[in-house]
Amino acid sequence: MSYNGLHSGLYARIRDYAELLDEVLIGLKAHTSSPNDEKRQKLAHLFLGTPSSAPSNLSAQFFQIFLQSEQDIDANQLSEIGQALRSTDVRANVIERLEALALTLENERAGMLAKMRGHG
Amino acid sequence: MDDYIKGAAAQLIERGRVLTGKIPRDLPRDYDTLAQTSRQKINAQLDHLKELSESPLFGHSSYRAERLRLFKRIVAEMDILETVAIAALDRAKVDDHRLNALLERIALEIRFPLVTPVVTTLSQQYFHIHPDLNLMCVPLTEGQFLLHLPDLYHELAHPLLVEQNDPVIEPFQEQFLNALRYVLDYLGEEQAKEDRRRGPVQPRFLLRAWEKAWVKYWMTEFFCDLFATYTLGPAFAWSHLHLVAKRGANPFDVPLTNLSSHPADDARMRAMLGALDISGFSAESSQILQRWQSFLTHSGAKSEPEYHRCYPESIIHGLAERAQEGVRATQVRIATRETKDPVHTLLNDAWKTFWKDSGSYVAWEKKAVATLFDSTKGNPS
Repeated sequence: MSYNGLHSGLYARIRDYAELLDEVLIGLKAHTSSPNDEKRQKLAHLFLGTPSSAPSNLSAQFFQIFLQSEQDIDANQLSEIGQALRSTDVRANVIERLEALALTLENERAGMLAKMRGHG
Repeated sequence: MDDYIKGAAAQLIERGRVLTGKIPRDLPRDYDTLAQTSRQKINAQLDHLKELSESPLFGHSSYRAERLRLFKRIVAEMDILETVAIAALDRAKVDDHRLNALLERIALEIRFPLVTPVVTTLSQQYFHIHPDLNLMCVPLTEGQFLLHLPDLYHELAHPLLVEQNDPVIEPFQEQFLNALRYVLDYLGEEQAKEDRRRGPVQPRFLLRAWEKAWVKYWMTEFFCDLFATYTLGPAFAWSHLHLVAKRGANPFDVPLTNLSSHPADDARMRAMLGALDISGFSAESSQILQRWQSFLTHSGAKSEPEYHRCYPESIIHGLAERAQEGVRATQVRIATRETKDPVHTLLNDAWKTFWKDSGSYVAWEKKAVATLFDSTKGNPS
């Protein structure tokens, strides 16, 4: 397994997280989003993790573990963001944190692509 | 930037149309999934581009950062589609067709639970897979030899870790997570020991680096290795020895500064040997271990204490057990001594023949490859 191949799976995962985060951010900033929106619920689910009663969701679990190990964000902070996304009042400080996270994920994605192309 | 993005988007839309036009219309049915996926992905990106150019929302300064990030991701997707997917379709030839038939046969033998990936011989970087495209890339001439083909089984495992909402493969993913938590718990305990000691910062830094590597890369590699070992048997461990002896660096490598994408080759071998023991190939496991130790002696490589702390035996054994549980629960066929599936048998016989008389192996392999591909011609696809 080459570096290229190893990264393509992780790359797709990070890209999908980044895409989802930006789409939700746009809705929040434009005030066109509600807690019932499918994408917002999906993002909230990623931050909150999988409830023990639900079937395993590798994507959600990986998101949690990835952010905790890579970004030094603890489980409580992740949960706070997830809860905020499920509420009708998403405050400016939460949007700021989401923006910072979106930038971090985008940089991670771009860096990974550069490595896949042999530029890393 | 507004003018730039509008102009660049228009140019990219035309590029997408050209790419779609490049998809050949006369390929065997094996390529249908890749052609269809490529077409859908290109169209999706073109729709995104149109929205970026035309939506009044993106004219507002509040969304500049989001728009630029979205634009960059579209460009990246189009690049991957052009250089990987469309290139594979545009240049597909007889060697690729043969490998596609072979992979289909392997998928049938092991009861692979997802759509069989398409194979291309365009790889410039050994075997790898793009799960997003369901496209496996192998080196140009690899289909004419047998000893590295076991790596096809490793690559088949990657999509199992990416697919979502499929109850058939969720048990494999659950065991992956279970194994990851097991390792993170161990590293957390080691971190706590360091905190109590209040010693130098270096060990704590190392433990954090290992944690990241396990999460991002290593567990995936171990699980794919173990999937391959359980479904193919000893041939996969032999092929690991073959690859490391030819192209490997320090088999006991432990990252001390930069993040390493691959776990140490010796740790990978120990996991494979553990899996062989679990699945009843203890005699073969001993033979491989003997050869592996001989290789390590020749290489002059020596393990450092950090290596054993990074990959303790309990962890390696725990991974092998969890992966077996995951593979078993997906109903994939686990190789045993009684397994007689033709490709499975051939790839294991290739290694037996190699060790029995390496001098005459090349002639044997030529005949075996010809027979193999003759027999896959009539494969349903």
